[in-house]
Amino acid sequence: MNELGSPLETFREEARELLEQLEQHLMQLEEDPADHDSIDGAFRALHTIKGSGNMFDLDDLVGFTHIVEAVFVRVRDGKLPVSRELIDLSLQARDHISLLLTATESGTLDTEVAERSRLLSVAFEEYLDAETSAVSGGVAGKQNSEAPKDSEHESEGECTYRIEFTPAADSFLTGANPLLILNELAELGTILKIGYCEAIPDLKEIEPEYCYLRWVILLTTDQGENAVRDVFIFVEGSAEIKIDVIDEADPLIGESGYKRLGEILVDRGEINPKDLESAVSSKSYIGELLVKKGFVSEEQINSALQEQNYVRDIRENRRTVETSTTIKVKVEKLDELVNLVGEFVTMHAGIAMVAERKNDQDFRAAAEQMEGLIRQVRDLSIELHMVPVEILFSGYRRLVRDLSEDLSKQVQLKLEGTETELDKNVIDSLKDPLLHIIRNSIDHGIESPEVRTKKGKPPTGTLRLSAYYSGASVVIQVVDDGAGMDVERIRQKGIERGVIDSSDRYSEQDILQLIFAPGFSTNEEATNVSGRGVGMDVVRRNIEAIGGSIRIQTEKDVGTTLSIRIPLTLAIVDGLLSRIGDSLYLINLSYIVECLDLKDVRTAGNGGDMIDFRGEIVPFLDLRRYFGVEGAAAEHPQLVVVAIEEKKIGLVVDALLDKYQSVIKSLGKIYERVEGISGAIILGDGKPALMLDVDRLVKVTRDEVKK
Amino acid sequence: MSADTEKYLVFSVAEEKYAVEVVRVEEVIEAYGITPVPRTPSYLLGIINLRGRIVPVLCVRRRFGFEAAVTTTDTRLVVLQVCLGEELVSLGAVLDAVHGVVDISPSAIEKRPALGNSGDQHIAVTSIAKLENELLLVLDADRLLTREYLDDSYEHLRRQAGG
Amino acid sequence: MADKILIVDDSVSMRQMTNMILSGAGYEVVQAVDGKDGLDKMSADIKVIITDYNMPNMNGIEFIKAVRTGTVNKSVPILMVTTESENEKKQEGKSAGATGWITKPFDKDTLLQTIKKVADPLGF
Repeated sequence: MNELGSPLETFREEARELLEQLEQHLMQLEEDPADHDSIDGAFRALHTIKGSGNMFDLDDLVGFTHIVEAVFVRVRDGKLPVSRELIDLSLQARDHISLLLTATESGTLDTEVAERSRLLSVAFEEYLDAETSAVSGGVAGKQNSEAPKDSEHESEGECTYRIEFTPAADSFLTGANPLLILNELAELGTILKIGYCEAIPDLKEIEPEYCYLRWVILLTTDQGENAVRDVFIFVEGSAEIKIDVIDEADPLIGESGYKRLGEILVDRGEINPKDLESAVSSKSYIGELLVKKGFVSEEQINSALQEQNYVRDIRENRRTVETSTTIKVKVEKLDELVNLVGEFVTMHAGIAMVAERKNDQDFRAAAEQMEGLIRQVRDLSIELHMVPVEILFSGYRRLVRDLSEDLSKQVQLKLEGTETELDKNVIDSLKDPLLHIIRNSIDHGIESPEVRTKKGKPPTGTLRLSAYYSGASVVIQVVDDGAGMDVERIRQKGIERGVIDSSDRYSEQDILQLIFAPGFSTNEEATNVSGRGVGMDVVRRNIEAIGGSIRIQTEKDVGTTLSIRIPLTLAIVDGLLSRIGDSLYLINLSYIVECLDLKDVRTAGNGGDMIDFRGEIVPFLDLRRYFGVEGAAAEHPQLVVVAIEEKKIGLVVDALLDKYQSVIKSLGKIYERVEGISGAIILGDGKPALMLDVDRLVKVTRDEVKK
Repeated sequence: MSADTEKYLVFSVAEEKYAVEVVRVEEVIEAYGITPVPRTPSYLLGIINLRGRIVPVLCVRRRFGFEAAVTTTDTRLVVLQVCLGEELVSLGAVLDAVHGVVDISPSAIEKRPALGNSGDQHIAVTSIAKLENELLLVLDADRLLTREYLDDSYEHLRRQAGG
Repeated sequence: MADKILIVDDSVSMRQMTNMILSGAGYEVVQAVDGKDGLDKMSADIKVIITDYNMPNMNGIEFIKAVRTGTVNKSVPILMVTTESENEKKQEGKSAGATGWITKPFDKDTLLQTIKKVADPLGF
């Protein structure tokens, strides 16, 4: 709490998040107009914005939101179906609320915005029936308008009231305390309280949580009936309250009031002030009984406690899952945590060494326990940094929808692999590049419904965003079923610009990569959506900045696929530690097909440079030789068969050690050109080890074979 | 010393004394726990774990064209901040010994043309500091390893491997 | 010992605002983000609960019902915060066991007075 800014700032931040949620709910409703969760969610978002905004006197914002909310009340109550038009309008309203929210920063609302508020409000009011629109006519009343304010006795000088007050039997159960009401009445003026205890049954029949008391109160006050009624505001409806005005100023007239209640009081006879006092003091009597109520048997209490703990645990778990996306932590803090944990690991390795040297049994056991704990902390801190790509992907729904509308195209967005987790920083850096790519796909890729129909394609184009793990990388693809790119035209353009020559030594991929060159665009006519080759050079630069690469596959009239491969710079990798010479290397487990003793494997091929792996002839790479390790080879070299997209090779290492889970760190600029190594990990003793670039090794080895 | 002097770290490599601005020095540690990275130029010794960060390490002797020396108790690893291309990176430099920090007035520093080829020490020494009783070669940390030199080295390696 | 008040509201700014007012008035404030959280934060020494109506996971009505049928401090005064002026909501709250309500927006005095209206000075 203390870390947050002023409440108003907090409100703005919160409202923006709520608007995001609102948008997601609306998008969901567009797909499934009957989705109750989304209807509830949309309503709740609007409701909270309105309610909290009200606290800050943001009248423009509140007034507008109120009308939108009123419409959603009808939707929620099943009185109004969700229509495409309503979603359109609501999305506009969402944007407008966002605008109004921004306006609260400057405090001024320009006439244009105010006019838009009015226009949108009118549009929303059409969804309200006569009854509700009356309510929506203005901002919800600022004062509690519950009690009738127009009492004829308002502030008309002193007046005496007789109040018959019978609390509901279960009023203690609702936290209400009749004594407080009596005290509050007493503050209004002169009072005579008469308590009735006749309803209290015999002790053995008494329900300790029930209120058996009732009162007749004579009150003389100049505050008006309204003030008197206000005292009872919370018990109205449950308690029996009867307020009569006795015009005589003399409070003792109460006796006659009593007589008017005669039928009910026949059995009791007259009440004197003494009885009243005893009745009032009976409050503590009931209180004692309530305490006694706690004295149920110990077994019962224990059983109740157990049940409570059980339910609490279950709820706790459920809550952790449900609220996991709502906790905010600064990324820098997480970075720091991961680093500190790394140091922790290093320090522990030192302690473990001392423990080993001292050969103290207890010390060693403690060090081992510590190791287990540290591992848990490490795994947790790594996990904290990962977020599902869904956060990234679902943010584009709106873009796709608005863009296709602007361009009169029909585009269906499909999301795949949204659960794939990526480092939060990586997700952030992908936001803009993906935005550009999606824009281009809709603008230049997907054709208009007419053109599509002519081509024999369904009129609605499909844009697919997918993410999947590919070894030590995550691949994000933007796939459209549009027109595809005209490779020949790009080539011509490249020659015109002098970027390439007219020889045929350029592969299709080389030519396609030209679109990422600064200012390169094949569109003679720039549209106002993607502009003239807008940002594609920036796209590539941004992706390369996070160590990623981008590839294009395209086929005329079939579509284009852009694949972005991003290394998991901070992701956890399950690997197998192997030794080559004096150094340890981690091999990503997800690539490993099988590990074998090299001597059990038959070599094949003409130069013995292939192995026979279960009948399949597979090339292999001696990593000792590849890495230039000097000295004699190991006695029992091991063969690790790895595969990338079905392409297998064998890797020969000196020895295989443990499985190891670790964060992969970048080797940095100086080593970016190293072949066969994709990153570094930090071992338990704090020493770095290297991560094999299996992807690269497979390519190198298979290229070698081709020659 | 007057206020306008600069602090320099004094170290030696192959019998010669050098000075580098202290503002460039992140820390001085033992040259221990270096993991070699294969298929890299010989002057790159590998990487170290500096509190969770991976920092590349360079052997200044080899970078300057000398034979690598045996690690002694004096051998130190100085982590420097250097510009590589447009980026500021941390680079560990293994030196024969570190002697301490001295204050040098700018007037005691004389520019000298960068001599020699890119493979020896002179390329990274752009001036000389004349102190009372000794001369110090002033190291320009940014010239210890340049993008071009690095690219050339990798290119050289590739040709060697290919040919 | 300051009197303890539990605020159950999914809106951070509402909690922050209410917390500011109540802390300023010398109350000790416990905050919960929804009904479920509120139940977890229930304790015998809470003097008053102020709960929002609309919340994810467990709304105000469900929360009040759960407190009233629970074992801990089940007769604590509960104030429900509503933006609605209609009786419907209030009655729904009442029948669930709310002691009273407070209508948004409220100012400092309204909030403190309303609490005084239901908070039992005798620790009943």
